Amino acid sequence: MRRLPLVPIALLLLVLIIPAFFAQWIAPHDPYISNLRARLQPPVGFGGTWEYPLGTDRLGRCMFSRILHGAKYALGISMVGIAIGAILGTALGLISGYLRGWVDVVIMRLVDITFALPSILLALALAAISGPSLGLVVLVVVFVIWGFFARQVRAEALSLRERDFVARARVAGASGPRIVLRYILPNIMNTIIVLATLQIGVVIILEATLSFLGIGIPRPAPAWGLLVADGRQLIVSNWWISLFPGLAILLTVLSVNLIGDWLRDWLDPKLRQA
Amino acid sequence: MTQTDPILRVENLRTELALSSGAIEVVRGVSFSVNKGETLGIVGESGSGKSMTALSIMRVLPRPIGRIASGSIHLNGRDLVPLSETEMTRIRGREIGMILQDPHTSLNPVYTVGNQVIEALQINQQRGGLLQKAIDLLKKVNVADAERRVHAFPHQMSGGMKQRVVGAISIAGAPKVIIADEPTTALDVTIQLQYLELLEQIQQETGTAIVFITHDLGIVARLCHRLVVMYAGRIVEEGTVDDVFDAPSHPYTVALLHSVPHVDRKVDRLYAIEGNPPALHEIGQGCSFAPRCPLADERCRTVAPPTVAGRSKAPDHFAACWKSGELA
Amino acid sequence: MLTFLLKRTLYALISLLVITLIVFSLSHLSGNPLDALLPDDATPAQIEQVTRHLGLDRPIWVQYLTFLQNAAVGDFGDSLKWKGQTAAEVVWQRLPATLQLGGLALLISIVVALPLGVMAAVYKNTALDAVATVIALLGQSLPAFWLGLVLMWIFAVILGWFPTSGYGGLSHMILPAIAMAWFQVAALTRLTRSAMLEVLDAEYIKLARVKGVRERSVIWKHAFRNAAIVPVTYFGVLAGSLLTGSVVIETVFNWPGTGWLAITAIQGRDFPVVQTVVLFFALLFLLANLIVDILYALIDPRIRNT
Repeated sequence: MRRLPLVPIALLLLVLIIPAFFAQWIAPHDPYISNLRARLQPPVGFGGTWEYPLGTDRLGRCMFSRILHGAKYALGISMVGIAIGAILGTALGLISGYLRGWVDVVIMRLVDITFALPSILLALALAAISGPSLGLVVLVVVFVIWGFFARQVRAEALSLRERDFVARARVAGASGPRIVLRYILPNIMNTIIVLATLQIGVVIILEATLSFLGIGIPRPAPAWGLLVADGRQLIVSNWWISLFPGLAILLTVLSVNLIGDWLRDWLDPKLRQA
Repeated sequence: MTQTDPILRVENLRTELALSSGAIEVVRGVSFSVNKGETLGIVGESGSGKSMTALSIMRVLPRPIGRIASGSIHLNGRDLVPLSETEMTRIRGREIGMILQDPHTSLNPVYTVGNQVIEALQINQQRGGLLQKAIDLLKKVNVADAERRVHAFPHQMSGGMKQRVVGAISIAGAPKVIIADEPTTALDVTIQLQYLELLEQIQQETGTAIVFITHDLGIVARLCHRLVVMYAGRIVEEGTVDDVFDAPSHPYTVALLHSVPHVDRKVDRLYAIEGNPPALHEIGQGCSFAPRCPLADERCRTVAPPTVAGRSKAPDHFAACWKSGELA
Repeated sequence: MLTFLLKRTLYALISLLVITLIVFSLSHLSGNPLDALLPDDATPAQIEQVTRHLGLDRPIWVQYLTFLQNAAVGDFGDSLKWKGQTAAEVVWQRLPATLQLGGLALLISIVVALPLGVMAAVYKNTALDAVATVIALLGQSLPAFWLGLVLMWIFAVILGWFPTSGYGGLSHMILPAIAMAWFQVAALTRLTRSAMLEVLDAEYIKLARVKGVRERSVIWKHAFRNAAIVPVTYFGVLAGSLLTGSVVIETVFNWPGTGWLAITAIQGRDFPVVQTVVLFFALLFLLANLIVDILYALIDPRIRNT
């Protein structure tokens, strides 16, 4: 769809994210400590000082520090969730595509059903019972993404198992699990990597949305969704509290999406249709 | 048919495709004419520029990469090249029609056959009783059970039947010229013959001229009056079917004729022309066929060949070859 | 056609059954459902009464069947937060607000995305195409809740063109509807564009052109009707995202629909209401998908006849 200069844009945006990994050292303030004398300070350029470059929230906490620390949640949750989802989905996809028959039918119906249940509803139901928690967010993430992996991996496993080198291995007496792990899985790795990258943006937004709604990461963690929620009631007077965390989400997701697109074109162009 | 009265005259046509690797010329100075009621064969391998010539005439080159670089295309005395898209839309279907190669993909899958025939009729200002007119048209192209089939969707028909429908669409506006781009290639052999007969029948009834594009010289012998042979975007030989078949005057034509399987001679292996047509960006100064030509010498490779009289010595038989005289 | 639809309906029913199973298990497997159903300071008498009322003393599969039976008639018990009303009533009252907003968002998505996608394909590699590309890219990367807040800040707070939030007429609905539609516009534009590009390359488009069909008709009658199959199949997903979106956007704009209700109910630990919303949304979603299947069959005769 696009012939934009993907790589430079992605790298540029990445520069904006990387500091988040070193939040502990970079952040000028402790993200949890409030300074009641510096409540609701505006950001630099809007009457604020460099002491709090992006201003403070209503408890006088440094927005810049909170946003930096918040990146951990966005990136951490997406990595853990996607890793689990990818492993689960890949395993089920391989089983589905290799065994075929009724196992395949059951697994693919399950995929359809998980796609049919909007993720937020699941999160709502879960949160209603157990309250918001990190584990809940990961569970929802896994629930949302495993199906993408299962479906794509299955499709590729189906076509790979008909290929000559797999047939030869089978004739040579290789066992089913061995064929799957030695011959099929390595050929699907690119697809899995690309899919995983393309899901990061989706997952970051999902996590932020759940946190915003109060059914994701519990307070007082500085997760971006929670930061935006903090500023919601103050949008009329103190716009920066909601604006900057959201901007962080936008830039992060934009950059991982661009990287994902670029990776897809490079590693696995056939996924373009997907 | 009157030899002096061309309905379609293409002169020095040059067509380019702008590919990401740069513009390439796919039609490189092609000139020919078609007379009223005549069938002209354009013969060549895939990549010879014959389909691009057809698309240029219809002005439906691939968008946005295709464009006519120079030359003229006179249809009934009027040059099509400078016409606007709107003006061209009025020419298509009414004055010049086209039959595409693959009937399985050339009908719109979501509309009934009748709908698509009726649309062609409407374009040609037909009003009233359109359904009946569509049925009549389908009957004209020998679609059996036309009353029922008019309501069918393309996927419910066989390939031969679909190609008949495409034929019906092409004659809906009674055009003076029909370009048929390999219309039988995608059909079963048994159906091919029927289809050719249908085209002959249409021509006899309507007096339309047909430009028949094919790689099959057998079909040309069967159907056409004259032919042009194309190679790498150029015409290498032109003449009446009899003259060219009796006295082929370009080594490429000779090779093509050798590769036609004869019914009376059991052929185990088709005479294959060694090598491949050149990639169009690789063409140099000399004759494009030189790299594959058994007769080629240094001059063939470096100097573009002149157009010479064909070996039949007929006034309308030409070849573009240095070595024409050496062919026996 | 009939078998196709029967099969689809059967699939939808199976999906619904599995979803009820999930919701049921969630409420029973994650600890004592009483914790969720009762306030923290419930008296033993209350606990006793609720236990018996819910049949929690019976075997689990009997409980499930009872749950199904109740669900089938829309009985999910009484709301805990809105006293004196059943959960179904509470949800039902909020439904019109959600449908109004969701309907407007759907309308905006279609009216903007389809023409934009078609034109981006027809005028491929032009400025218009670039605009469509940027919209699509931003749509994937903008969190809806934040977009809602930014729209509110710019157009309601700074410019004062619209009310900031709350329930009301069209002026109240425009900002939330745009925020809700944004992602859909992006996704739908992208889908439509790629579907159109594929179709525009088809031989039947070439035939339409050579038979003298006017360009506008080539695009809308011949190409779009074929390309539309792709966005139409997407409407199922679209409906789902709009439902999901309603939870988010209604919360941002204090729009008192079912989505807002769900979040409020969670804060008030009103499990019957949450459960009703979840099942109700799932049902709507499956229904939307079923409608999509029917539309799909209507557009594509190849499916209709198999």
